[in-house]
Amino acid sequence: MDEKLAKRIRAQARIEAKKRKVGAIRRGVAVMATALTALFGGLLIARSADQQTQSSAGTSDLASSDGQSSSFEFDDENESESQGVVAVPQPTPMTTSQS
Amino acid sequence: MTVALDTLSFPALGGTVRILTEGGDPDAAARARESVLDLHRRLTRFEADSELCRVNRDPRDRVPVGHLMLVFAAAAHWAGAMTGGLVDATLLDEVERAGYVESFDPDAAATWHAGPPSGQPKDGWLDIAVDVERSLLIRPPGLRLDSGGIGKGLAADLAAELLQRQPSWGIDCLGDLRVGGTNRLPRRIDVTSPDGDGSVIAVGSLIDGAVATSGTTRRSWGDRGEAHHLIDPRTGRPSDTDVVQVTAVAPTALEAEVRAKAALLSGAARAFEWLPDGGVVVGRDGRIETAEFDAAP
Repeated sequence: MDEKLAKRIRAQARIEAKKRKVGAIRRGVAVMATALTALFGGLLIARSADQQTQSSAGTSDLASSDGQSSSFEFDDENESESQGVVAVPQPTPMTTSQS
Repeated sequence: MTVALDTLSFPALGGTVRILTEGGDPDAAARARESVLDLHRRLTRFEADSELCRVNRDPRDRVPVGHLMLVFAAAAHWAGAMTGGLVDATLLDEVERAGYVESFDPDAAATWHAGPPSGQPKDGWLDIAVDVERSLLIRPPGLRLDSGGIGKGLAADLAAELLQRQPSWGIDCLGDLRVGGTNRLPRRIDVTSPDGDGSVIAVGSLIDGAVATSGTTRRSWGDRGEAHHLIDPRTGRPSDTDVVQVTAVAPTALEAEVRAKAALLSGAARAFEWLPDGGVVVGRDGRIETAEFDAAP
């Protein structure tokens, strides 16, 4: 086959492949985002039902054998003045790092 | 008057997961923990009887799977589509070829040896599909999925849904954070150095949203740390851009995780295109660039 023709065919094939990929990306974003949202919702509903069953069976337990559970209290800054006022806990800072 | 702060820490996803609840129902944290552990059991690639490993071994092109696996597969395709293939959850062969063949402590030095990289670009995510009605995962046999960062993000997001009614809460799935609460109070978020010394290089705050950090200086091995877990799908080799760490802010941990990886793989010049809600980029030369994030994205 003529080398120029072969090059042109390969170039055209690359363009077609790119077009297919772009099309797949556009379809993928829309379709999968919809599916993901629906699936996510379905999973939550299923889990919610499971957990209600578990809770009613008394299986929820904050402490675990394989984990650690810590619970502590901190003083509200206005403790002496806050009787009758619902304390609003300040969120504890968190850290993000590579894992 | 005092208010309770509960911290629940437990091993999962290859490290330690933390769930904070400030006030509210303490059982909610326990339920969130179960959600994370369930995802870990199903999606780990390091336990042969996990659903993920069974799917990866299955010779059929249409595999009946559970609902969580469908969510993960849809998320994997979505991540590839959103990033034009930069984030691809089908690079397990390449990850293993780079030497990452077993779970390890990211704080410990690994002594693995990398095999020859494939050097081949890949678009495996394009071949993932789900049949929601029949609960089928569709992909060519032999195309293996790696839960990796997408699994971490999903874990945080699923657990977060179980805490939505609590006054104040936060989840840390190995650096993928989700925070929120009905109190609508901002929570400070510290971003630490890629050096792993714990020093804080940037500070932001979020009321309701997610932050994720991705990088190449931890979970790395080789004489100079040149091999690591973050594979560039364009080459099939560990990423070698001029960025060593990216922190991304997004509404969900899944999106933050995907944006952080895409930004890192895009290099410093284009990284912030992936960070519309804010973030931090650390270059190989140590330069730190920040797009501030405050309150909800």
